Amino acid sequence: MNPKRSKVAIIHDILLLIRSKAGEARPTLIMYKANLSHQMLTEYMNEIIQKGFILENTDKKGRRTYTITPKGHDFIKDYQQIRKFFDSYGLE
Amino acid sequence: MPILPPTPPWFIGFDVTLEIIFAITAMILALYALRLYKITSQRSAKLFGSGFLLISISYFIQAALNFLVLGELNEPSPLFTKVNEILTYQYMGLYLHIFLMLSGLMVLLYMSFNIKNKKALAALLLIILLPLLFDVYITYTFYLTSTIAYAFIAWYYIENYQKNPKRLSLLTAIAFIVMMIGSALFFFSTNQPIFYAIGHILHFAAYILILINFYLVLRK
Repeated sequence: MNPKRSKVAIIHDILLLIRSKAGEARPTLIMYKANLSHQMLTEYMNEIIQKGFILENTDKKGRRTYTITPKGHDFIKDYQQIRKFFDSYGLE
Repeated sequence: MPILPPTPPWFIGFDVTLEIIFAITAMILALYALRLYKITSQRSAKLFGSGFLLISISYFIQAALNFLVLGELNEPSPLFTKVNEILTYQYMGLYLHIFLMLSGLMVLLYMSFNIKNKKALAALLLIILLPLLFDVYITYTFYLTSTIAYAFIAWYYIENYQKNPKRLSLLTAIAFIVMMIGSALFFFSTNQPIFYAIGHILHFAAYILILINFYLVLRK
């Protein structure tokens, strides 16, 4: 992973990761694979949930999991366009 | 009374059309950036969108008031009343346009400096805008200040192109360089009205580049 990722790139990485795990992933996996600290993960997950990109669930054993929503899929689809706009206008 | 920039007679009417084009282009860019801010919460998108929104409103006001002046010129009223009304519209338009345009440019400049302190933005706005209220040479000061602001913004986009050497970032850098040259020419328009027209035409070229850039961004 690129160490100088922007906020948008991190959100994109998290959503891609959840999508690659059949649309559902646990927080520890996201934390390690997305290369985030626990605090950063909490902040990002709260923001992504608030934006409606993912849903927080609890399984039968009481473990937290995150599932990607249609809005999250749309974000992944639109990401290249967003990236192009941000890069061309220097919005970091 | 502030000195008003003279418009070449053949350019009256064209300037209104061009200002409407600038206003619409800036509005499109602003609304798209603000939509992306809603999706991503990226602070720079909010600043970029707000800056262009202010610039767009400033152009709409300038176009509307120039249009009113055009209407007054065609009215069959006594010359004295006509001149008085035209001057009132021009002064109102001038101040509103200058304040909104400089506020927009300062927001873009603040974004380009990547400062995360709202007090710095407030200071920047107050230092630039307040002295204008007492300035007889407001148009000269405005053209000079906006040229300097465009120069720093263009510099930011040149650096952005060096970091990210792609066609889209090059187009943005060229657009802001052309805007800077256009603004610099406006400075000379107070003595040579032709520069008012050339400045507008250069700004038109810059906004066309911005529109092409925007089309390329949206193209799948």
